[in-house]
Amino acid sequence: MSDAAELETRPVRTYRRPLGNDWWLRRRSYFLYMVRESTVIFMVAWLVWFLFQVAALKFASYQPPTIDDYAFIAFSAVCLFFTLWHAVTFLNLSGLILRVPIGDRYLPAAVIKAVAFGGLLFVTAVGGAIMIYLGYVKL
Amino acid sequence: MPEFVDVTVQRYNPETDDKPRYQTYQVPYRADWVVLDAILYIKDHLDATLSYRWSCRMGICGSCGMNVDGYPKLTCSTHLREYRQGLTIEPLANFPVIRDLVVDIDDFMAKLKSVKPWIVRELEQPLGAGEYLQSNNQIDSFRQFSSCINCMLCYAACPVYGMENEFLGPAAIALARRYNLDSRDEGAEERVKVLAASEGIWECSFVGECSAACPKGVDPAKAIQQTKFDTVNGFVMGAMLMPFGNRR
Repeated sequence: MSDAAELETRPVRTYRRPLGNDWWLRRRSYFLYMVRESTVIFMVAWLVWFLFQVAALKFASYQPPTIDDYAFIAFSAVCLFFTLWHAVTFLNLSGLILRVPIGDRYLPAAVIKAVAFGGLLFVTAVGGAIMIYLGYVKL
Repeated sequence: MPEFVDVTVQRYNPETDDKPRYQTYQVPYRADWVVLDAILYIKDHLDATLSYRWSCRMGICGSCGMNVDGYPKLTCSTHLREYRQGLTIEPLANFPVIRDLVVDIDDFMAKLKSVKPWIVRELEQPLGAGEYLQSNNQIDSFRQFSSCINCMLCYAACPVYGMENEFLGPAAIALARRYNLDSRDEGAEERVKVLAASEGIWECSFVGECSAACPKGVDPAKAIQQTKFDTVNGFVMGAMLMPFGNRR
């Protein structure tokens, strides 16, 4: 085998730099991505708390949180903030991702986004109204 | 009195080095130079052993992609005047380094080929049958994805690819999308096997840096999310709602 042919067949020794666990701290955009992904923790935390409250209804000694329960208010406010962050960043992309064909054109992204945010407001209003009503009639 | 700028370059010789090292060169500063000019100056005047890729010098060929101060850039389109205080040039991140600034692109080329980035026809028309006509709107639907020059900056910017090298990656998916949207193409069903595999679109968690890094204004993140939606939509419509109606 000639030297050139031997060089051709010799495996190339390469170096691959490991990404490292701190990759998400290297750029602002990476950090914001991690924050966006972490918002789900707060959403789940509030839902778990809510389910515990529902489960606790069967006990006669159950006392629901009141408006002057500052820990509850703070916890809910933080969870609401991250839930809105999650919802807004997600729905902001709806116009980019969803493509509704009209002939050989597509529905404008702004219209899809408006429908998505409108839908969020509608579902929030209906859900809120149902919960307030159920609270009012004390089911 | 000429002005100089410190250019620090990552060096790696597979025959002598266990890991890369850095070497700093003093390069004359000229406001109209791009980073690639500085690298060419080092090669021609300071250190002939430096290895790197380049070709067209006009942001078309995609060969000269490197990490400049940690960000993936086409060095032929990045001006030296943006780094007046000095700069560090490294090979594209997330790829194995062969030597100095040269990375191994075999993995990318294999992935690119796997999505068949060309027009697939079930039955080719003879030349005499005429052109495959398209409207402007049909062209507009895929135009931006066709600007991809395979420079791989999006792979260097993608932490998902950095963690999971099996990931098909942004450019390959963007080009698959480009052909899937082309009204002349009939290869979407062949591509979906690769795109919807576990190493395909579902690996992407939408960091979005691929689109920020692209020097040609392609939006691979959009291509990936749209492909996710179309894949689910196709599955729901084809296999669940109309399980028999969609069969050929």
